[in-house]
Amino acid sequence: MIGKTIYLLGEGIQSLWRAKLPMLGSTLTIALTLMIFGGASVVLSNFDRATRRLQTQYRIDIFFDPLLSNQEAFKVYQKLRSVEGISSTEFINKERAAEIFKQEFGEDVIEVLGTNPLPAGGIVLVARGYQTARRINGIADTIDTIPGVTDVAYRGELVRVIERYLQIAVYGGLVVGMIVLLGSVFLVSNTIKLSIYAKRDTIDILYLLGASRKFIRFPFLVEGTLQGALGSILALGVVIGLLDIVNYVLEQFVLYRVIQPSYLPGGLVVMGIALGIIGSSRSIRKFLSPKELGAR
Amino acid sequence: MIEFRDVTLVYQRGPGVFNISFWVDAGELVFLVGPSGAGKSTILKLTYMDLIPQNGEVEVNGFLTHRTRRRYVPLLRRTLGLVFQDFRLLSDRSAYENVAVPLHIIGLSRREIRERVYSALEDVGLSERTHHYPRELSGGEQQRVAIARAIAKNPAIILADEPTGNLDAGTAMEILDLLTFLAEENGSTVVVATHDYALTTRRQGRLIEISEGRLLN
Repeated sequence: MIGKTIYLLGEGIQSLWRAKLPMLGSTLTIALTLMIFGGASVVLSNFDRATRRLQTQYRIDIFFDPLLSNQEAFKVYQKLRSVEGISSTEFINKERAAEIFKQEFGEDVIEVLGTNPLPAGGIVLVARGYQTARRINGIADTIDTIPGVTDVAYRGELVRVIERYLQIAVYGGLVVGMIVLLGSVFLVSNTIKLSIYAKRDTIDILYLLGASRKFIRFPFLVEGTLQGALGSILALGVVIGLLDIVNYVLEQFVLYRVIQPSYLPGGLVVMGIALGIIGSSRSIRKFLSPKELGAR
Repeated sequence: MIEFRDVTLVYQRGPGVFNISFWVDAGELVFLVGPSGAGKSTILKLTYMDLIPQNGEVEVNGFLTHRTRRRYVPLLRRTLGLVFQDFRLLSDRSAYENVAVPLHIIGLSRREIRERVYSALEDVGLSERTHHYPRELSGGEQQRVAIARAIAKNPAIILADEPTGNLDAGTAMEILDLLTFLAEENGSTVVVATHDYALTTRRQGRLIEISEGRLLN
């Protein structure tokens, strides 16, 4: 049994060498498919990273009653910390509020009015799991009910826009991914089918000599696995090479760097092997059908 | 060993074989003789289950072919040695590898395979050409490789379908001599289908004549 398995493994490896051109065709088809997937996953994961970075900017500005002193306002501020979904808070006393006003509008409000009418306030950053429009609304409503709070402001529209685009990107990516995946299985199967077609005499002879379907199929699956692995290594090389080039160019102009998703190497190899195996088994099935092998 | 009982098979496009009944005993040498298109190959195909009769029964080595399920066909074929007119060698493998294939199929050890392959190639006079590919061999040599492949696993039955059809007269005689000699030596049952009556003269063995799908004797 072990001897037979070793023989069949060897047959699978040797058949790559025996039929170099069809092997090259199948491997390149797999590589091309994986390059598309690799490129798409780099784009998607970088888009995801960018939107997450934007999401960390989710903040709520809170204004307290202008009649409250800094000390009284701080007591109200301390109640904010118990609100669920908040990652960090910052207290803004009246003097700091005047400084911010000056930075943003260029006017010293105390100098103009002779007094500081600005209320104390707080800045709240929303925790990661709560960065959706619905949940931020909930947090804002809770804060709004705290006595001493007069106004709550946040960028609800921006949050909704980010969410909408993220959803489109994710669902769109999934749909396009599924279509490309089905197309690539079809394409890879047909390319492998052509290479197996060239070996139909071998299949006939083996069957005549008493080989079981498993015996005939096994080397083709080994071949498919190797083609998939080779294709994925090729695709990985191209995608990583292109990434390096893009980053080199980007470095000249901006501080942004395109990252390579950590799952890319493993993902592409697994996907390449799966494509090779599925493609081979789909193709060989046709040549092992009763119609192809005679009445029995 | 082989028994045909009132077997009929009609092809969709034309005649086949009709009401064929005969048997071949263990160790027997039988020549199935008739003109081209008489039904000789059909009878052999029915024997190695490439075809299944529409009527009647074929029994080979204890396998009743119409009752044998598809997944057991390889088991029957492993007990047979097949030789074809067009040799049916694997073109991308050497003589050694071609002879070794059926031995790998039946799962022999590497050492046993090596011994049997060299012995079979020596028996057919090709021990000097073990690593040659079919394209590097003459027609007669290719048929010798095919015979070596058939005898290497010591099959109970050897079926040869026009084994000399692609060879010149001299080589044809040699091949048939070799086939019958090796079969006798191994004690295998041998059925040779041929259209060439001349090849069967002065040979021991039973003659079964067939014409237009029917047995003549």
